[in-house]
Amino acid sequence: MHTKHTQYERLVRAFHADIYRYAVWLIKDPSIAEDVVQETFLRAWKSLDALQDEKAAKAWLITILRRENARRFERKQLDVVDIDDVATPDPNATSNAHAQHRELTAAIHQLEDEYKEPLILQSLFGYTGEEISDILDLNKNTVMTRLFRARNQLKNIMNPTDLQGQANG
Amino acid sequence: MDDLTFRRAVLADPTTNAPEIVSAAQNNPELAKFWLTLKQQELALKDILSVPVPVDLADKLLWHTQAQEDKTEQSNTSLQHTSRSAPTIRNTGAEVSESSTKEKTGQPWYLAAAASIMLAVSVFMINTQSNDLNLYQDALAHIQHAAEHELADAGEVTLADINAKLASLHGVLNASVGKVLSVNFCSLDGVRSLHVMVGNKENPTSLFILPKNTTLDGVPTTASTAATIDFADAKVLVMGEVAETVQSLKAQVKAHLKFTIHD
Repeated sequence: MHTKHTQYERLVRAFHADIYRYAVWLIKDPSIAEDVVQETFLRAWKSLDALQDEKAAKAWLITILRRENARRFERKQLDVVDIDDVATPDPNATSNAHAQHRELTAAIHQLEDEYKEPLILQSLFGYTGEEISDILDLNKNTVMTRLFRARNQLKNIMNPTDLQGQANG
Repeated sequence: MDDLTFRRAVLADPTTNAPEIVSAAQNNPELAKFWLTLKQQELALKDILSVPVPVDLADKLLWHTQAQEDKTEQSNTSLQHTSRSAPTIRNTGAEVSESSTKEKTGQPWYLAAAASIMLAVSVFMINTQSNDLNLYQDALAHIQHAAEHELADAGEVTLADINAKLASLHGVLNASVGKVLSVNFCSLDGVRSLHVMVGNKENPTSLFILPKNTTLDGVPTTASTAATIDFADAKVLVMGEVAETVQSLKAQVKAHLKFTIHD
């Protein structure tokens, strides 16, 4: 039991920040994101025996988080808030100096989840296309196409005048 | 490599080092410029995605899990008590007597304390101090849980380990108060607490460090196996089997536990 507690505490301390960040971008509302992260780690505690390889822990936690988020939508199906109406966290709000950052933040939120998720997994966590395909249960070509489309959309949102001559997706 | 393939490849992964991509960029300034723009955007993206994380999130998560686990443990324990007591009622007097003797011999002190408390609950529930009693019962449940599940394999806990957790309560222990067996956040009747177990595995003494607004008036300290300390910024509940050990730990904690604001 003590070993399980130790392993769990190590897991929480090592990955809580990344899992929280992923949740914030997926869910948009930081307080709801924190609740979902709590449920994610609670479920991880209950299923800790299922984690055979600690190297796969982060991917395992991301999978749990995505399931918990899906459950949240199932539970709240009749009370769904339009996510565009929810306050957008602006990590650079205090500086107000980086207009480009604000635009990019808004642009990320405009992306559909199917494009946003692989982008976060690659840019924030540095996962390869193959690793992302495992986490999202997609084939690698689909992942690469979504990554390409995600960045193309970001680029087009940020620089609409660059549209000519860009790759089509 | 044609332009379209190049653009698709770098859009899918701007950090790629694939030789054919590097070579294509070297031979075509326009593609190189496109790639550079994407690399810059990627850096900005990485920066933006790294949103600030609440400083105490890890402790909160550990505490939440511990609280949920304790809740489950307590409801399982009461279910077990219910299922155990049912056949006892149907037993003959002799069997009941034998069973009672077995339970009494070798029974840990915290179980005896819990049993006494259970008897007192009905009286105390009438009083306004019932919340304090719930908190005390929760403390006993935590001690029982830790003694049964955590202490057997407990490793060494250093002063630094304790202080790392005390930091979130603005506390610091400036000297050892004995051999520490475990340190964990837990919930006592919904109040966040840091539970530190000191001494030896067979006869540990517990400290519960609680917020300053916690009321501990209903905790039965008359038996000397429980004691409380009022700091300006926290309350501490000390519980153990041996009165001398409890009082000695109380004195040490009073001397060595400091809080950054007042004590």
